[in-house]
Amino acid sequence: MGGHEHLMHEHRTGGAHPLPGGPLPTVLAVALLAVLAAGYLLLVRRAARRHPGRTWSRWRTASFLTGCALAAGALLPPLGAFAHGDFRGHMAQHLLIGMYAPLALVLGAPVTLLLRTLPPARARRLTGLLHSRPLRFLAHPVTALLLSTGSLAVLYGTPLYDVTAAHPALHWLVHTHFLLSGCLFAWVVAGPDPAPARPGVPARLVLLGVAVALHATFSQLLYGGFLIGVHAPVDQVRGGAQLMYYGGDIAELLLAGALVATWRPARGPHRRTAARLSPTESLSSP
Amino acid sequence: MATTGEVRAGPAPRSLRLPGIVLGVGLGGFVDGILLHQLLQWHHMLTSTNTDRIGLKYYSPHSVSGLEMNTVWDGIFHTVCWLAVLIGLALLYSRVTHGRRRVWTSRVLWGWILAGWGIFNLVEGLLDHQILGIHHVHGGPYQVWWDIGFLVLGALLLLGGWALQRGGRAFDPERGA
Repeated sequence: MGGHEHLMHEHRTGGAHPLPGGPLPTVLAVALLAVLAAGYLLLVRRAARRHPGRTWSRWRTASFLTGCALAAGALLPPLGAFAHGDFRGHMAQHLLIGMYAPLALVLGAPVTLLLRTLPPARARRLTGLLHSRPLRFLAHPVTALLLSTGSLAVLYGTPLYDVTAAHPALHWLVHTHFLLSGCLFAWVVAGPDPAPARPGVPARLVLLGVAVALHATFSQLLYGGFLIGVHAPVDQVRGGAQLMYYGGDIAELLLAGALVATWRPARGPHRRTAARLSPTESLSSP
Repeated sequence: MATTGEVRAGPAPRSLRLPGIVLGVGLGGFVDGILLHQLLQWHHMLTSTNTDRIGLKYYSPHSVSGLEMNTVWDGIFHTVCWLAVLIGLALLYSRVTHGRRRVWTSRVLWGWILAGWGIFNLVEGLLDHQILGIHHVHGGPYQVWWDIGFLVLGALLLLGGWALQRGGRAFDPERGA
């Protein structure tokens, strides 16, 4: 730890705070995550009151709370401060925010929970929104892939990474982008929630394969120093690239696991034919 | 062991064998790749090419160019592992239409996955460590013993996995609901 501490101090300039933009944005972001978790718990209670016979899976609740905790853990001082001065810390932070937390959040099935607890009129509006053209475009596998994995090329292949190090606001914007695009990708590939025009399992396996290949290629390029955007000591870049390579693998294996655990049978007597958006157990429940 | 996932012996007892084995080969590769290559850094693909049997150039993991070559081959190995996992999942998907949750608690599937991991160790151990000699599990004076241990682990996984799937009643994917 001592060595890390040392590096951190080296990178800090003029007594700036080790957290990007000072402690305030971190406190706000963590508070926002806490509100998200609390909101989810409130909805779970409401769902239990509305549908006494149907229990909301504890696994989903645990998963969503884990997702909030992972994102908060990535931002809070031990890792948050380390990430500010060290590329390896930055990579660990982005793995948590962009891959692990999103998967856990998506497995919490927040959309299904909303559909189950919103008043019918609003739930119908939400379903309509899910079917809407902009959301169909956003949830197209290629869009999701470009926004999540593709943005890595922009961040590390252009001077953007260096710029974010100097501008806290941009830094927070990148964090937000990673969390949201990570959720989008995890939601399209897997997850219990309904998604517009989600392709079949074989297509999603191919999509995951492409994402894995891109992610691995980017980490190798970073390792070899071909992605020019990152200015950090060589051992930090290599350490970060290795973390990205193997940490990414484990996250993608988990995502593959989530895909098969939540896949819906393609055919059979239980298939509701019109249920492309399968508004799940939702609106018509007793 | 959970037996809830199994149903009475049906007409399709072997249907999980191929997907299970392919998935197991891929996952076994990941255990090797992540644990031995990365976390323990015991070996890379070509770390013993100074003593190999096919006359490859030596790529030291301690020089930049040597590490580069090792990284390229680790990358190829990585691709093979991922393809095995994804193809295994696709095969599983094509064979399981109902009872998809139960298939994951079926002894048959996990037995074949373990067997696949064992096959990975046996093939990797015999081909890369013994026949080609391009790397060893843990290079050094005791590398023979490490290599033997790797093969023994493979054999145990294969036998254990085979026994496990035999003990489980056949999972019939057509009998879902």
